[in-house]
Amino acid sequence: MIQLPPEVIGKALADADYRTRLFDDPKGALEELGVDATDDLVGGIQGLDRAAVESFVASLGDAVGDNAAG
Amino acid sequence: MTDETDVETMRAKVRAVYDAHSPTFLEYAGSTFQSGLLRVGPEGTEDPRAHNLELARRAGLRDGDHLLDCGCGVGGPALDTASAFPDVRVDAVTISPVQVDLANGLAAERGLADRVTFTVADYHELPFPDASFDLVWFLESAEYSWDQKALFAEAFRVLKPGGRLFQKGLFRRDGDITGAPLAHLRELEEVWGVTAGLPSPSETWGAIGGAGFVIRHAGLLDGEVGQDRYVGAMVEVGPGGVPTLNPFGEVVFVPHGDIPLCYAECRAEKPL
Repeated sequence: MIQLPPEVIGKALADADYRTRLFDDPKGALEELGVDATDDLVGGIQGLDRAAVESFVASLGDAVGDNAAG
Repeated sequence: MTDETDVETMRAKVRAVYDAHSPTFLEYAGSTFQSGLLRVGPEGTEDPRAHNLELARRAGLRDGDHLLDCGCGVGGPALDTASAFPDVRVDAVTISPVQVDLANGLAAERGLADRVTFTVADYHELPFPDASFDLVWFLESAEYSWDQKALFAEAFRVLKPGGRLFQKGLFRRDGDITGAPLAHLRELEEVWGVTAGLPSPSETWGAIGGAGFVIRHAGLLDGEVGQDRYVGAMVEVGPGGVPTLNPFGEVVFVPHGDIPLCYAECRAEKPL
């Protein structure tokens, strides 16, 4: 199981552009949030199932983002 | 008027929610139990410590102050503040014994147990003498009050003359809410044990002013607060790189985006 930093997961769920950057350039996307881009973390992101992530985002509907419920 | 039986029921409900969720919340989200963080970390990120210290700045905290943190969770804000202000003393109260146990452990780990004291208490009936504190704050905690008039009167009582009140919270937006958004709001309140309904900013600010405080600043935090860290704390990546809700998310995720919510802050003073 990969434990990604919550700020990275949350940003990826809420922001489609960031999600694209995370898949295309994990190191840069992590550093963008001030997260140390360790090999384990980059490897973990590279191991994400992109289709499954998009499906998961779709399953959350509009409940994620600036108007997400507390 | 709420009778004592109702009060005990509401106390028990809030206590049960936080006794149950706090260990999981701490594991996944860290020690700052707030759903919205100011984007004041490096590069505009949601960094809990930077967030807490920015709230301390906005609250007008001064070194040497005696601070009361009402609804302290497991102590992230109190401990971050004490670590940054070596002459600040903090008393912190929560209705959850589990939170006090966790907070005491964190205070010991950080070497701050001599200046930060966690106590189980109902913030409507604080176990402190009159005029004990320089600053009282509520950080996403006053929402749980079933009697905000009594709540802020109690804060007024324990503040010294000239003392400061700071409140940052999650609110329902002012205005009528009906239909599905109202049903979804009730669902959110049920998940989190908000027993008397989530207040609006104007209701809370009215209660603060009604308690005798002079409001120095009150405003919405639209655009300043993010929930990425909070939402991300609800998700884990399982085998095959597939994300799912983790045990925390399975309990607290509310799958609706139509609830008219906002964050807001208020800074006020007890007159001399």
